[in-house]
Amino acid sequence: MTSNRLWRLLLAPGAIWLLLLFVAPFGVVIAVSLGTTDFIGRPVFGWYPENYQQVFDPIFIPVLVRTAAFAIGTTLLCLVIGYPVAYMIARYGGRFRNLLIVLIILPWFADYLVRIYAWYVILGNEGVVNGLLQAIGLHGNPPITFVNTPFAVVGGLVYDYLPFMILPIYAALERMDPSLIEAGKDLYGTPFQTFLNVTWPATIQGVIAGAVLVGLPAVGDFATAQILGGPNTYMIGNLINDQFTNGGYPPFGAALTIVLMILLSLLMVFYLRSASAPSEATI
Amino acid sequence: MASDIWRSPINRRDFLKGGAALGLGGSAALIAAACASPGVSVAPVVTPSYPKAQIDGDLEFFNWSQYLNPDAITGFAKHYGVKVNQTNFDNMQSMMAKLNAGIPYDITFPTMDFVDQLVKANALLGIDHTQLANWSEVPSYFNNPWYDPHAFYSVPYALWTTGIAWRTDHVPDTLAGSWNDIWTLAPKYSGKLFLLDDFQEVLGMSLLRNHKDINSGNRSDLDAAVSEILKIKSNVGKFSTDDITNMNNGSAWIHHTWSGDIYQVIAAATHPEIWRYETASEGVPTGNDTFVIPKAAKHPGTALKFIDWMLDPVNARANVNYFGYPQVTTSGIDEYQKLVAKLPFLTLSLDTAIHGLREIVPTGAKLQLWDSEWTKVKAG
Amino acid sequence: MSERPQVLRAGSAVIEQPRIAAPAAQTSSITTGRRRPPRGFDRPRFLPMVTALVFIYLFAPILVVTWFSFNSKQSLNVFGTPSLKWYDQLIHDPIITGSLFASVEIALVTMVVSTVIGTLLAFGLVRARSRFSRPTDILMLLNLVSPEVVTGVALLLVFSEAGGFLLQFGIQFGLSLTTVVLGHITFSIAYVTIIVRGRLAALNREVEEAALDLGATNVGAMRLVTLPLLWPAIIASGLLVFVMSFDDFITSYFTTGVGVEPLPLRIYSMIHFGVTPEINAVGTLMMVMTIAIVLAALALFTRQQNARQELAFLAE
Repeated sequence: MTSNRLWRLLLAPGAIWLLLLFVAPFGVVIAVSLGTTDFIGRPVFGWYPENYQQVFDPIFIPVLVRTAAFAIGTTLLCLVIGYPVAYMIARYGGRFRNLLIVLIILPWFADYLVRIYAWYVILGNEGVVNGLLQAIGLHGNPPITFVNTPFAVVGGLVYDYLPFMILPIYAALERMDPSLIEAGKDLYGTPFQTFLNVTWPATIQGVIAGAVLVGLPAVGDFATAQILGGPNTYMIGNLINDQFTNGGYPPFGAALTIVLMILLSLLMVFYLRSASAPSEATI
Repeated sequence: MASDIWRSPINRRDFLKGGAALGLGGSAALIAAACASPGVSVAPVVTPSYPKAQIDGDLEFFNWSQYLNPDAITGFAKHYGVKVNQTNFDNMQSMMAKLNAGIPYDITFPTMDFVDQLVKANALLGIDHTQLANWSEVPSYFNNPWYDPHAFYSVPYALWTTGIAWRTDHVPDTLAGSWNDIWTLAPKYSGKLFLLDDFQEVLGMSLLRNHKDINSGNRSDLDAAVSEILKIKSNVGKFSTDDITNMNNGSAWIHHTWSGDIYQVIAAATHPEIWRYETASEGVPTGNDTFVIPKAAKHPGTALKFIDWMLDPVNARANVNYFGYPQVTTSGIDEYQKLVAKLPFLTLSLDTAIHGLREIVPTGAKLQLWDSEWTKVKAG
Repeated sequence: MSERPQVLRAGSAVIEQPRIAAPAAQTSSITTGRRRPPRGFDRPRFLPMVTALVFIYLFAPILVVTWFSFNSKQSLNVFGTPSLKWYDQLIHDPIITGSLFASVEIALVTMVVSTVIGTLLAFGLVRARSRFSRPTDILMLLNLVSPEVVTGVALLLVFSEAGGFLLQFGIQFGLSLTTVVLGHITFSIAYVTIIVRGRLAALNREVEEAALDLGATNVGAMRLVTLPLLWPAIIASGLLVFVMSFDDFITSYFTTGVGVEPLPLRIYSMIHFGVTPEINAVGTLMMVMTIAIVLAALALFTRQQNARQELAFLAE
């Protein structure tokens, strides 16, 4: 068979799988979102576009704002913490580079839930920090409530996704020609200017990749908010999850899901277009 | 590696093509679905199908957590040589969500109003009482309870009341025996007051406090109830039905809770005397829940055997001592009186439970209303 | 690479002396003209400190969990004596061991199937000239960036509706370990494709074309030349997918049925319904297992790789 025919055939299994188990399910979600429920709550198809109206009910604005704040906050924190680490390993890691990167990834091998639970162990009312404080005598009964706060949730989110910010930035830094930085120092003098005008633009692709790899899962997260948070850290992931598993209205949950997907897809288009312009500082 | 994705110049047209594929696929599925399912309607009452009481495989057990004596389960498993796979739910709504998704549990424990719904939706297998050796243990009222005429589908499990529990060592206040106590205590003990994660209990409680019908379908009643809850929400530690754990580990000093749960806390406490429980003058939700066998059950025979096992006087008595509720059998209720003698606030008679204030879970449009009001409580 | 510039500290000023051979007049006018206080990232002191702190931040929770998994007491802040009792309880708990095996099974199946489909897809996307290439590419990317809660809900709905639909024909289909596997494969394919495609696109096609000239068929050339070169990428993506599937929570949460559930879901129930120290042991065990599997696979693979080095050398 001709070369091209062979390659086109190879596209098939993947494409068919994605069609069946990625595209078609969204069809069902759209169908459920336009439907209603029968008298005990099972989804029933129909034509009820008012479910989408409910999505834009102003009472959910706090949830949206909070989710965006947590996601952006997590991404920024990951960037601020992660970039120096990536830089350190890439530029000054030497022969320990690979080992250091492996060490960065190592905590990720602990299950996602275990990582959240680990923070609960540390910050919980009966946890390590409170135990230490009590031992020192700084705070007796009652223990300080660190959990059930937005800080615990963001801290947990940052902890979960930090490696995903470090890795792409590290990859971009590694790929960069180090003589560019030297040249930059000649041109710009101070390290900060060099960074701003040479290093940063060269690694922007990595930063964007990191931001996507951190921000998107953070938007959809609900387990961290549930375990480490309280009623006041309700995120959109919790809102969607509750519609299907905890006394909600599935068509509303489906409508929320579709709207969220559309929003995120638009964001992705935006990022793609801004990133497709090639950057001169790369090789 | 990751940056390679972004280098390929995907422009708007290609993206729209991909999105169109999604949309087309979506519409196709929509049309197919619309043609395929005519929608679920309420089936006319049919003669139930009765499984035989015999061991037909491992038991898929679906229950609240800490709501049935673990020794009874291991005893059953050993006696009949089967495995019991336990799954827990947080509240009735999550139980319904799982049942609606078609997951084949063999036995579950809905409250009476939910049984009423499940019967009407033809979602249960019949229970033939002649197959239960210990059916005589069950009080006669339950041969024809209001929620399951002729008791075709259910066997009663336990009675309960809902109230407020608190610990006097951290909360020395004198409570007024009213739902308003929650509003008084919440700002004072911010973060230490927990409410149940159950829309009937929480919305119902707020409705009662406003002297409205606990099952009101009136939108303004519900809006008022919700706004009252939102006023104290920042002071609420958590919405959780894991009340026993929350009280035991000290995170909750005040908990919206059920009567048997506070018993379990006291039974496990190093200083049991600090705990109190009160019910409210505006209205005390009460009633019973049941054993039922969902229609999708793959091992209904084992389920029947399990029900019979729990109705046995010895197991019922042991169960009461474990979970602190009066199990609805003659021995169970008798055993419960011994608990009441030690803890008078647990007083609960069968008569009170049967004729007391009932939470009736909403259906249809009313359910949608309650769902959206509850979502407002969670998200607001 | 030139040596790092020497950094002299003079009070609060830093004067840098670059060692690149550059027109001396120009550099001196730039560097002496500025006497700014130390700033920026190229200061060795600031960077290692931040890095060290971050490493502590990354490892502290894991180490705490591991530490307390050996605690004889039930408490989470008082350490009694070292004891293996939680591990003992763990091993004798049939639910947990059942979940562990289920998770491993699911991860293995997911790894194999998604690696195959993903590699094929990578070939198709790189080599084929078809109007289906772009849309498929977009679909795959959309899949990659969709939050798991969105795809999880979609799968939950499609499986429950399908179950109800098929029941009319008497076919029993519902949420189960099978649906979990299907869900895992769905999100894994994109990862394999991206990784393998990156490597495939970077390969020099001359060796493959040489093979074709020598009389090999397309498939034969692929098998004898391209695939061996792609092994690193395929194995790497396979391992990644294994770990992701083993650790996965959200997709499993929405697609699981009765009976045995994957281990992360078991942990979730344990956390949800009462925190017990057994979770520390389970968590540590999961982590150790994951690391061990990855290391074992890497060790096995590098031995293979060493034997193929000549070929790799030729192709690039």
